[in-house]
Amino acid sequence: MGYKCKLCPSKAVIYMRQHRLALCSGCYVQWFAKQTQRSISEMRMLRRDERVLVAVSGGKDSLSLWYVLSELGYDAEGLYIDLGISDLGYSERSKTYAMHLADKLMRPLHIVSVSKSVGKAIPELVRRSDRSPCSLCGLIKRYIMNRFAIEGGFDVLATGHNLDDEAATLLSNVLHWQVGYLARQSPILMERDGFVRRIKPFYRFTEKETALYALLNGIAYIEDECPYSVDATTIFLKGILNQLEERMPGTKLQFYNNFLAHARELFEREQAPKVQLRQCSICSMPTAECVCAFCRAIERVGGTFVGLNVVRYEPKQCGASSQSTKAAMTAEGDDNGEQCRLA
Amino acid sequence: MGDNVLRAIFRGKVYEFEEEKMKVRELLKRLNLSPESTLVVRDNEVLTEDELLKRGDEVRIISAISGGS
Repeated sequence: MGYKCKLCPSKAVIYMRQHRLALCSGCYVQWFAKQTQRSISEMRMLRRDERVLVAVSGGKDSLSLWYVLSELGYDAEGLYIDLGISDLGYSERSKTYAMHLADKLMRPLHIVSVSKSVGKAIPELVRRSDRSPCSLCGLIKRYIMNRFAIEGGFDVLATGHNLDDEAATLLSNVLHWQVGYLARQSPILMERDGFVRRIKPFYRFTEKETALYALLNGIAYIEDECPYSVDATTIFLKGILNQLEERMPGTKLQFYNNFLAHARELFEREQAPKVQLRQCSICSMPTAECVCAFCRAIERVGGTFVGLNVVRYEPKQCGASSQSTKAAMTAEGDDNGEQCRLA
Repeated sequence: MGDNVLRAIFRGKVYEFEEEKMKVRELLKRLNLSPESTLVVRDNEVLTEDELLKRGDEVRIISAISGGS
């Protein structure tokens, strides 16, 4: 029983109904890397001579992205934003996974502390804010990612958003006809004054596909959802899209790809002339208002931005890659995942 | 480990089934999980949906859903 790999005689580990493609572990890992490169090339996301900063959260998508970009030969460094979420040791454990991969790849990881940058960690900021936790946290993370990429001299910022993320966001934006967001929803946002180029090379992969890539490459990652996102609307919308996918394979890919092919440009054209950027009067970063959304949000919750607090984590040799597949297969939190610590 | 049940571990909880055999697809349905967002692993091997499970097997189910924003 079970599917056979379409490319070799081995047993398949996944059948992707939207592609009508069954692959074994070896062929899948190669296919995944080729598809990543295809997305990068087709959308002209990243050149070989450019420095890319990968925003890593400790989850499967971002860690897989850092891994595959390194495998493909790109000059990729990691950025971990320490949100200071102490429930179940969430942030500390996430950071450990990011550091573990830094060691495995032998690449530097930059760690920015939210509490040391704005005076308070995410839980306290959320308590004092009337915004939803994900909305506030997303705003802070986007600001930090962009600012650090600019200050660090990176050409490109890459995030691990996958097809499920993009399709769920698109569904939400369409349900509420968020025209401004629809104009900016894209796997690539080109650089302009004060904004680094942002890319999402995984926009064609489902969450299941990125999880499988992590598993097969022995990339240990945090499986728990963020304690603040358990009831998030995005997760609900992803469930609905997966129900549609079960009945009509390929729905998510068509929904998002056809939006990119036929609709996004129309929204972009309508929005473009309306937005003129200037410098934020507090932090000097680009904004459409006098004071940027980040500074307004931080001020409202009683925080003070004192500049990015960054620690550079230098990797050290640790953990043989031949053992790590088994480690990731057995369990998150396996002792093998805890061997790498700050020097 | 008993041979009389099929064990599935999901998010730290153990679920036991007494059926002699069952496909992965059926197991996920019984647990109300979508095959679109889960991976099933038996003995370090990732299984496709039509793989047959039997009594004595122990599988780990990994949720691929993550969220926020």
